[in-house]
Amino acid sequence: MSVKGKAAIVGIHEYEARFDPEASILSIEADCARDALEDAGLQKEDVDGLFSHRGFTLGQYLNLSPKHVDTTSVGGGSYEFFVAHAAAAIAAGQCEVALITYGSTNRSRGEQRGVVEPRLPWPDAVESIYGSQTLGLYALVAQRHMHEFGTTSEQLANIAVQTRQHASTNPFAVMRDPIEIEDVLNSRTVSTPLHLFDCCLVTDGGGAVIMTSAERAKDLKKKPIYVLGTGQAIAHSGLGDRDLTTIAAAQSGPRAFAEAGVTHDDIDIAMIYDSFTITVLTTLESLGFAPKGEGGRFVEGDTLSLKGKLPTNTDGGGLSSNHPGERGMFLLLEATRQLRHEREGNQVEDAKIAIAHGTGGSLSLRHSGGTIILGNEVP
Amino acid sequence: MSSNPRPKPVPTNHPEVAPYFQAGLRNELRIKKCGDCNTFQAYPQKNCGNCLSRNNIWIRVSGKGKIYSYTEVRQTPGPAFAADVPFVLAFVELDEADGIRIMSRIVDVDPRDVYVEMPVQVVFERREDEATGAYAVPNFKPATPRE
Repeated sequence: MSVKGKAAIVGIHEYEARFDPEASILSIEADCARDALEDAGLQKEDVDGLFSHRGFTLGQYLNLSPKHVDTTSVGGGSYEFFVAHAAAAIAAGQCEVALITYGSTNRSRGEQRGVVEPRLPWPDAVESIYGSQTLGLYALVAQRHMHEFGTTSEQLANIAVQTRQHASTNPFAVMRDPIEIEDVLNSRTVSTPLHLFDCCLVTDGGGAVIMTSAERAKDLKKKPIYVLGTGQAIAHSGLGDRDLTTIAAAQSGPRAFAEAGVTHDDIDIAMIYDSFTITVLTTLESLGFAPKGEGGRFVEGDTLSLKGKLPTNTDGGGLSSNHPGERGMFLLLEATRQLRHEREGNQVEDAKIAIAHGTGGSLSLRHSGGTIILGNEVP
Repeated sequence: MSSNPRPKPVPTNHPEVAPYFQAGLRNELRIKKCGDCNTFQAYPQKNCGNCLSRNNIWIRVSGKGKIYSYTEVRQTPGPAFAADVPFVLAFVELDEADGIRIMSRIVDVDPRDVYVEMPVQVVFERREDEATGAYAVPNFKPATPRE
């Protein structure tokens, strides 16, 4: 069964603070839920579907008793999975108003971020024993991509430069001063070939999305943003033979495009998970915006800018706006703002269709890919 | 470096993986191969990753291979590794075992001399801690023509 056009995003809220030691994960989720409901013109009592990592704990904090609960946990891309699951649940009549929330105090409370700890005999005994944290794992992808395709540090740097330009229009972005390619190359090398400015920020933050049926959406406050296509995938090392530079997006992307019935040329804006610059490059290739190996050339110049071929991460992304650990939520929020035409200062002119792709876990090893295609009408 | 460094994360004595680390003490690299479907696997796991059989056995390999990708890690992954930084993290593609790629470190080399496709040879790092006793971790070093 296709979910195309059957459900819509009708309310959103992004937590504005990037550092908030007074907040807790649950208080952030509660603030965002309240303000997203206000944005939609709905009441807390309307919510009958809850999509959050916190499950019953959040249910108690919000004093909610939903009849549909989903605690999918596939890392930073979980929010694209939540949208796919909520659309299916709404289409099947299992719930009518879905609340998707995220909260994180990674900046103010996240002690020992990215630190590896002993866990399972398998697979940690043969991975984390080497000190294989997120940064190094993505650097391995970048190195291999450079070796196979001649991708350069300058090309990766330009992703950070273009993203920073978008951030300069976002008053809530942490890093707003425009930068040049040289600034990225001159930032310290953290794990070859990646520089500091190839890496995302670490912030606090959160957000919420309200979804409902296309029918009910028509009567609410804001213009409905319809779910046109969804794709879910996981990818891993397999038996030890996986190609590092092809990611889960290569599976989830075609599923979403097929369901939406649109092509790459129809996409007006791309929101691409940007834990690192290399994440953006491999995602654009695996989604099919650039042929495999040509992502470096694709992102040169102003391709990702507001006037470029594919305006990308127009809120400033995880590289410059915020990254509380799971950035998939913010891809949905900015895509919705753009399709509502309410992105002050950085609006993609006449935007009709957006793609959001969330990556969770770690490239190189196990990771998830969730692709959502949204539209402000149903083509 | 902390005066009380935390132990490295090492669940190396669990039966599913212990033979891998014990073989290392004898300078042997052992890899899992399914006795039913003959599939090699990069991860030591009890069940075959292809057919899920429990007849998944340890096979000794030479430990020769080449670098598939590498990175010189300069930012510490945590207190347990603070004294190791910088180090070279890598995927090594084995010459045997159908060319499976395993995670490891590249040692005994200036990081600036490391390159993708570099021929390497396994070398074992003996470790010991209270919880798990002695074990050895397979690292790789540049292969010399004699090896």
